[in-house]
Amino acid sequence: MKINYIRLNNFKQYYKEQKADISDQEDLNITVFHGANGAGKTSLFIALNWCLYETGSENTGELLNKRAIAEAKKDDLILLRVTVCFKHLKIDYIAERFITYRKLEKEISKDEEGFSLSKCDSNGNTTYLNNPKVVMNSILPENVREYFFFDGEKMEDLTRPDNTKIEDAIQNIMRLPIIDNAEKHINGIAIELRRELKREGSSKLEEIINNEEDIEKKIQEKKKNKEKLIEEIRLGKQQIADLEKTLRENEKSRRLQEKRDGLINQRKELEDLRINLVEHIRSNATSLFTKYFLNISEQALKIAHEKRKKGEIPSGIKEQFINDLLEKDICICGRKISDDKSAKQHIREYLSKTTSNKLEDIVLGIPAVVKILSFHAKDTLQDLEISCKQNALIEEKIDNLSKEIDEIKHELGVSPDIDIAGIQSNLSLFQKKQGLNQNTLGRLEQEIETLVESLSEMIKMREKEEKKQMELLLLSKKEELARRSAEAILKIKDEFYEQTRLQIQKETKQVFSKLAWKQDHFQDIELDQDFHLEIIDKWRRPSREEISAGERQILSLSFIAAMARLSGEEAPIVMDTPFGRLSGNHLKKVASEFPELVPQLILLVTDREWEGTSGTRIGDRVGFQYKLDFNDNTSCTDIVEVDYER
Amino acid sequence: MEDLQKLLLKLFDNLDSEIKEIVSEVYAIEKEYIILNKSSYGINEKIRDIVDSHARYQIQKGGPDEN
Repeated sequence: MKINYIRLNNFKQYYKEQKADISDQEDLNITVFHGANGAGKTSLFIALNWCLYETGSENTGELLNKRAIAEAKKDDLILLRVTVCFKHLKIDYIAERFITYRKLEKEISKDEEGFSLSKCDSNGNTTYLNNPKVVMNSILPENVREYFFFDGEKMEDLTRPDNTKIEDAIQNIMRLPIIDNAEKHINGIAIELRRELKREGSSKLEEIINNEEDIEKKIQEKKKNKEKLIEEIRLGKQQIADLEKTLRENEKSRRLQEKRDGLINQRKELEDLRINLVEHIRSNATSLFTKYFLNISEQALKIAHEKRKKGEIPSGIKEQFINDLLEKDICICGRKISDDKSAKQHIREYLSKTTSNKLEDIVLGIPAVVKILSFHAKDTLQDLEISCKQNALIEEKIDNLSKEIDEIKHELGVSPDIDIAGIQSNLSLFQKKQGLNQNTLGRLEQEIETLVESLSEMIKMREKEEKKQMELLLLSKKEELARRSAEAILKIKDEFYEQTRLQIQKETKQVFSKLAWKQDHFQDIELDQDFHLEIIDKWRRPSREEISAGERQILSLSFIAAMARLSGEEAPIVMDTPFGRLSGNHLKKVASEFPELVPQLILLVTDREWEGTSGTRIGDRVGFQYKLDFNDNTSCTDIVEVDYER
Repeated sequence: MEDLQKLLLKLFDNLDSEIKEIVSEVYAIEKEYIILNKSSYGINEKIRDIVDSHARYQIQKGGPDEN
């Protein structure tokens, strides 16, 4: 920002319109207003602050020019206005603040007031800006203003050891609160987001996805099984159909085979029967052989009978019986044998006439045997006859069966026998298996259906969870960005603070060394981490508390020049009575050096101060010089441009 | 000597592209509040909105801001 002109209307002692151009050339960057005490330097200073920021006029009395009030008639409107034209970033602006007053009987009342800021293009077109205060603040912030527009008599306050104005100035001019606040706010947001993330962060998505995958896997497996089963069922159907077709096609053969098999079985049974019958016949035939010895037996019986009669063979008294009588010594009539020797002798004779026991048994048994043989021979013969007839019948049947079997064999031909029973057995097995497969298929379909339902539920849960996850993802991203931004801003802040500190320290030191005359005494200037400025003397001792008011003013000017150079703010330095406290050496040094350090300098100086700068280089840089000419008669000041002779 | 505002811009320029825009926008908002001497009421919401829009953009694009 560089000021082009200032125009006053009825502002304090400046009656009607007063205008002063301000030099903005690089090599002629000084505009001087000089006048006696009370001529209106401070009023001009106030006018500038009031116009741009509506400040600085507190406790300074009425703003409206008293002559204008006095000259106004009742109900007249009186205009109070300050106009400042300046250039900022190659754009011309006109700032204008006004108040209109209405003259009453004796008093005045405020009628209207306003502030405008307009932009002028190169063609002279003017555009009024909607938010003049905002724009003005963005051009030169109000809280920075005081470091550019300052009262020289109060300048030394800046570097008094009992205040923190330096620290505040650095904070404000370097706009450090912006970065402080940015760091504080973004960090607070990062912390809030972290808390939110922690609160919302317990996700089931992984578990749900795993479950979903498991279910999908199971469904796929079951579907594969189902497909296999369907194929198996299809094949089974085919096989069953084939078997049924085979069975249908071989029905006649089957029947013939069955018949043949039945006949073979019958024949086998008959053959078995015949074998038994033949054995029976053979047995009977053997027994019949005795029939031929029947007559011989009867003759033997007759002989035996005769011999018994003769006593040649026992007549039924067995040897054992006689022995028993002899042993018991009792006759069959009950008498004792021993009493009759002849009887005993007689019995003994009998005993001698008996044959051996074996022969006796045979002989005694012969009649019975002969009788039995005779009886059986008749039955056997009859049985033999029947058996033979039966045998013949069976043989005939077997022959017939064999013929019939042969016929069937002939009919079946030479083709191998089809295992119809086997086929039927297979068919039954297939049908049974088919039934089982159908059941399994039904069960599988039911299981798949259940799994699909579960999967659908799981998908719904996943979608819900994914939505939550998306929100979490967003929250997580926000937290990450906020955290990283906060870290970055903190890092920038640290770096910027440190660079600011070092550069202000370096620049202030450089300027101070140019402006202060005791260069050997003041060795160094230090700015600590808290931006506390200290001046170090040749004994390496801090001496800020010890320096004089003039030296404090030099230090303040050094600091302001440094800040002006480093802040990037191209703002004019407006100083009201800057040299009041400076002695000769300091005055000359400041007058010579200071103008070169700032882009634009507006000096409001007393005549005496101004005279004190004579002989310095300041004159070389003066673009405009004005005398504030106070008129005792009107109590008003005129701004009078003075031709400046270099 | 380089002015410190330029140094600040350089520091911003050196930031990772994912956060450069956010930091710049947050700084601009803070600057606006400071310059206009506004109360900080509502500034957190604005910063949250900045972070939110960049987070959405980056998730959507799958990376940092292109611009």
